Amino acid sequence: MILILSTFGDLSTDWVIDWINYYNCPFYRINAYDVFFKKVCVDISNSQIVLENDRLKISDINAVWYRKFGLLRNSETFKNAVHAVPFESMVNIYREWTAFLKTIANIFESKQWLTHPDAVRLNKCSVLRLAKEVGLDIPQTCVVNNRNIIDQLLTEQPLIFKSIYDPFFPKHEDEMYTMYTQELTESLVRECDLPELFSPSLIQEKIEKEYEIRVFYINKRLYSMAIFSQNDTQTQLDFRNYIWEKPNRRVPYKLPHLIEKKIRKLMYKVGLNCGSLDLIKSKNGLYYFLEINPVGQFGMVELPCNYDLHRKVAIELIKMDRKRFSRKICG
Amino acid sequence: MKKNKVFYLYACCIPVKGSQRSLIMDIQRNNFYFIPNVLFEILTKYRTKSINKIKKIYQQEQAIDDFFDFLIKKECGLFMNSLSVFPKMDTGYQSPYLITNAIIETDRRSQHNYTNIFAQLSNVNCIAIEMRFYDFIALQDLIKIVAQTYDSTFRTVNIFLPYSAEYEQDAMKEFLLQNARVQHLIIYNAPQFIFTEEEQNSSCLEYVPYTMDGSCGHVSPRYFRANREMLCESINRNNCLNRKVCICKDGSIRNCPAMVQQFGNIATCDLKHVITQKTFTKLWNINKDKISVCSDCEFRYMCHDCRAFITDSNNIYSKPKKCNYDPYTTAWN
Repeated sequence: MILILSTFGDLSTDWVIDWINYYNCPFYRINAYDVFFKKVCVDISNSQIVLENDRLKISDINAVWYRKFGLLRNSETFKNAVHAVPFESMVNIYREWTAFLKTIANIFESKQWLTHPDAVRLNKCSVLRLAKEVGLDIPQTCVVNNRNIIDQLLTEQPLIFKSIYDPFFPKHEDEMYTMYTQELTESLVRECDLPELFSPSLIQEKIEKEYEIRVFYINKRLYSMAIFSQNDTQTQLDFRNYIWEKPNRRVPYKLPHLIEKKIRKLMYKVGLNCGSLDLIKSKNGLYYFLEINPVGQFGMVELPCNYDLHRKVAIELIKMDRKRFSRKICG
Repeated sequence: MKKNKVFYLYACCIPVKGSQRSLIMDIQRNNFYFIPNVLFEILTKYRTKSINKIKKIYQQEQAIDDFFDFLIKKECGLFMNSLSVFPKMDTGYQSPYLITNAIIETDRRSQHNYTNIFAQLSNVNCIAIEMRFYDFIALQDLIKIVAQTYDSTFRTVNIFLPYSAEYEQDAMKEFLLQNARVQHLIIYNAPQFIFTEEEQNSSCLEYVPYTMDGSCGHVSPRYFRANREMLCESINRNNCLNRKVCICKDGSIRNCPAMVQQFGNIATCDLKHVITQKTFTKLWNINKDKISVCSDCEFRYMCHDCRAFITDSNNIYSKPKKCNYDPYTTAWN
C-alpha cells in the first residue's frame, strides 16, 4: 500500500490520488493537521497507526510519499496558539511537533520514500557548495553581517539578497510583508539606513538573466520549464511577484544533457529522489544553479507544459510500492 | 543582428489555420490574435528557418519584419539563436476520470434515489455535477439532497433552481457557507439580476431573469475558451460530449440532456457498465478536425461543439446547427 503524508487542501496530492485510484492501487492519506482534529495513536510497540477507526499496519506499507507534511506554523492551531502561549513554550511545542513528525517518519524508515524526510531540511549554502562540487555554475555567494563588505561588494557588481533558509511572510498590523528575492542597491542601503552590523544574510551577485528555469525532478527524470520574466520589471528578480493579467510566458524546456547529468549527481548527493530546482540561464549563456525546493510545487510546471506529471508521480509511487523488498532509496 | 536568428513562438501560443485566415491561440492569456495564412506557414513550415532565409523565400523585407514586430508586440515570442532547447508543448489528453461532469435533472415527477445516483457517479470518479431543478424544491429538501454528496468524489456541485420567494438571499448564502462543495447557485426566472460572491469560499449566488430552456448548443465567441484543457481536449476528443453524462428527469441515462438516445435507467442499471459501452462513447472521439466546416475553421480548438443540434441530421459529422460563422467568408451571419 502507498502511504501519503500530506496536508489538507493540497491540490497536487488530490490529483495524484485521482490517478492512483484510476490504476486501482491501494493508498492511505494522512494529513498533518489530522492530528489536531482526529484521534490518532502511533502504536510503536505493535508497529501500527490507528487513525479514528482506521488501523494501518506498518508492514502493509511499501512506499511513502512525503509531500508538504506538517508545516506547523501554517496551521490555524499554531497561529492561534502564538497569541496564547509564551514564546519559550511555543518553541518547545514546535520542537515536540517536529519530533512527532520524525517519529512517524522513523516508523517507515525501511520503506521506499518519495522524498525522504531527512533530506528536506536543506541549507541553501550547503546545497550551493555541493552544486559547485558537481560542476554546476553558481552565482558568487556569501553570508555577511556587516555593511562594510556590502558597500565594498556593491562597487564591484549588482547584488541581491534572500533568506538563508526559508522566505517567510510576516504579518504586522494587518499588513502582509513579503520576503522575495530583492535587489540590494546603494540607494536601498542608504534608504533603510543599514546598520554597521546586522543578522547574517545571504548575498549573491545579481545574474543578468535571459530567462529562469524551473525543473521538476523525479527518480532521475527531469521536466523543465523556462519562465520569461524579463519583459516586466515587476518580475525581473523573482517571478513570484506575479502579474495576473499578463502572466509570464512559461514554456517547456530541455536542458543540455551535461547540465541534466550534473543535476542528477547533485540530487543524489543531497539524498533527494524528488524535488524542484531553480536555475537561471544568464545573458552570457551560462546555466546558474540557484536552489532546490525539496517539496516544490510541480503543479506550476505541469500546468503550462502539459507534462502529465500527476500521472507520472502516481506511476512512480505505484512502481516503488511494488518494489517492496529493496531498501535503497530510488535515486 | 537578428538576421541569423530564428523566431521562437512561445509553446503556449498555438497557431491554428482556417480557410481564409489563421489565428494564434494564446492559452496562457485566454486570448487569440488573427494572423494571415501566410504567417501561419512561416510559423509552422519554416519554423526553424532564420529571418534572413524567410525573407529570401518570400522575397519580402518589410512585410516579414512587420509580421514579427506584431508577434513581439503581442508577446507571442522572441528572437533566439536556436530552438533546440524549446520543445513544443505536448497536446495529448489524459484524464483519470471516466466521467468529468454530470448533469442531474429533476422535476416534480422525478423519483430519483440520490444516494444511488451519487454513489454510481463516484464509482466513475466524477468530479463535478450540475443539478437542474425544473420545479420548486423546498430548501430543506435541497439541503438533504446535497448532504448526500458528503462521501462523493465531487469537488464541485452547481445548482439551478426556479425562482421562488422562499429562496431569500440570506438563507441561500447560509446554504452556500454550510455546503462548501456548492460553488455556483443560480436561481433562474428571477425578477431581477443579483450577483454575489462569498468571500469565505468564493462561491457564487446568482439570480437571473432567464428561463432554463433552449440554452444549449449555441456557438458564439462569448463561449470561446483559449486554455490548455480546452485545446488538448478539442484536439483529441469531442469537447462537448467527452466524459459527460446526464441523468434525466425520468432517471434515463444520456450523454447529454439534449440528445434523444437513452441508455437504460440509473435506478436499474450499473452506470459504469453503461458509460464504458462503445455505443455510449461513440461520439466522444469526434473531434473538431473530423467535423465538416469546423475542420476549416480557425476557432476550432477554443469553440464548444454540439452533436445534439446539427445541420444535417443524417450526417453525424455535420456542422453544429446553432453556429452561424462561415470560415470560408469569415462572416458571422
